[in-house]
Amino acid sequence: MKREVISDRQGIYLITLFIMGSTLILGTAAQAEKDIWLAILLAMVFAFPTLSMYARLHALFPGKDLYDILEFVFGRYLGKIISFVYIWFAFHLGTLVLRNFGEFLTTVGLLDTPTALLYVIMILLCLWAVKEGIEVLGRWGEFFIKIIIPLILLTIILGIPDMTINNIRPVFYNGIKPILDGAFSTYTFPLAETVIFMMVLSPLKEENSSYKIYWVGLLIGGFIIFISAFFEILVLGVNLYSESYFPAYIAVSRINIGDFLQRMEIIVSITFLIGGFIKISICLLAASKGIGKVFGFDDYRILATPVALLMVNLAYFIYDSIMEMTEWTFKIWNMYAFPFQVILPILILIAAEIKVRRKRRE
Amino acid sequence: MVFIIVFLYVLVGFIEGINLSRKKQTKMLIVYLFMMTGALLISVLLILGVKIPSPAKGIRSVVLFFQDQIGGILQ
Repeated sequence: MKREVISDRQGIYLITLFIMGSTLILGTAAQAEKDIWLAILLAMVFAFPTLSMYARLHALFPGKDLYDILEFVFGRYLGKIISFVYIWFAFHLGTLVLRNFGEFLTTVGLLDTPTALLYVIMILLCLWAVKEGIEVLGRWGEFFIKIIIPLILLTIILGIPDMTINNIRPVFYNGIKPILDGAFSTYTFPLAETVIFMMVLSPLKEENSSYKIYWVGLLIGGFIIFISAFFEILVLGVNLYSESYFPAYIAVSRINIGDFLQRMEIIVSITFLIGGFIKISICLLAASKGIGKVFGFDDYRILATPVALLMVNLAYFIYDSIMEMTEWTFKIWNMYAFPFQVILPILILIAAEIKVRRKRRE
Repeated sequence: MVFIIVFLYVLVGFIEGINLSRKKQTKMLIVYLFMMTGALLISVLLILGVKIPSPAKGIRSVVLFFQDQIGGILQ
């Protein structure tokens, strides 16, 4: 099998697009109300050591992914059991993003289109990308990020006339607890979701560049969700922001410059399409790669097809309604994802450090 | 509709499965066919209108249980 390699820049862009993914349309940290911007900044501060931990694992085992590390550190059987846990996490996250995508399109645009059809079309594209490999995904991300970041910035600039500064004042009005709740929400969705990259980010051009990739990816991705949430809260205010399913879409639809520049919400749809595509593809890649590694296969690509089909099936029946999806995303996901994002990686890192030091001594 | 779905699954499975069997990758073929059959079964059940229990509900109950426990300890 041809060895795939991605550059630092492609890795950074992939992480940025992954972080932007579904967060840009679903919003985040609504618990913090007027202090949402503080919550996101705080979440970035908390995420920094977590992402450093992921990078450290890459640095300890250059060229290896999480599944290889688990087998080396915990042995064949326990390693495979933990690998299965992470395969489920990647598979589940991909399914949830696919569902977000379907709900978004059927709510705002394609009202009468069967959602199953939307899932199939999206997953076919992701499947194609995964079969081409992470190198192609990296190049794809490198190309599209140059289009969507200027588009997001332009939209925010055009939205300035609709902003009301009182929507974020007074600062700290409800105390620190809502800010911490909001920060925890942003931390688990989307910042620490980058744990998925531990499963796919092994083919790096330079061995010790994992820190740079995670840190710069976090900074750019975090900055984008920060400015978009700031924009949304300034335009919509607390009530509308927390009551909307897709606050970004509503905020951007308010832009009207001289009755000429309007209906800009297509930009939100394009951004989500691109970010969501990368996020689903990375999750699909991680799950397929994991199944391949657990069963000891050289190539994961062929397994991507059944995994993708299972994702479509699960996305179809995982929630009964959009209300359940929103409740799950903002109330259940935080606690559910925390062990995968923090507790298990801490245990893996401790075990890996001990094992590596022992090996060096020998 | 069921026939169309079964036909599409069989077509995809045949095209990809034949490549695997040519390369004599039997173990991979077994895993592949097992997962494809699982996906096909779920698709057929969904088309027939069978209500499949969602894992989200089970996870929700577990998370809420632990949340209550942690909340109790903190109080």
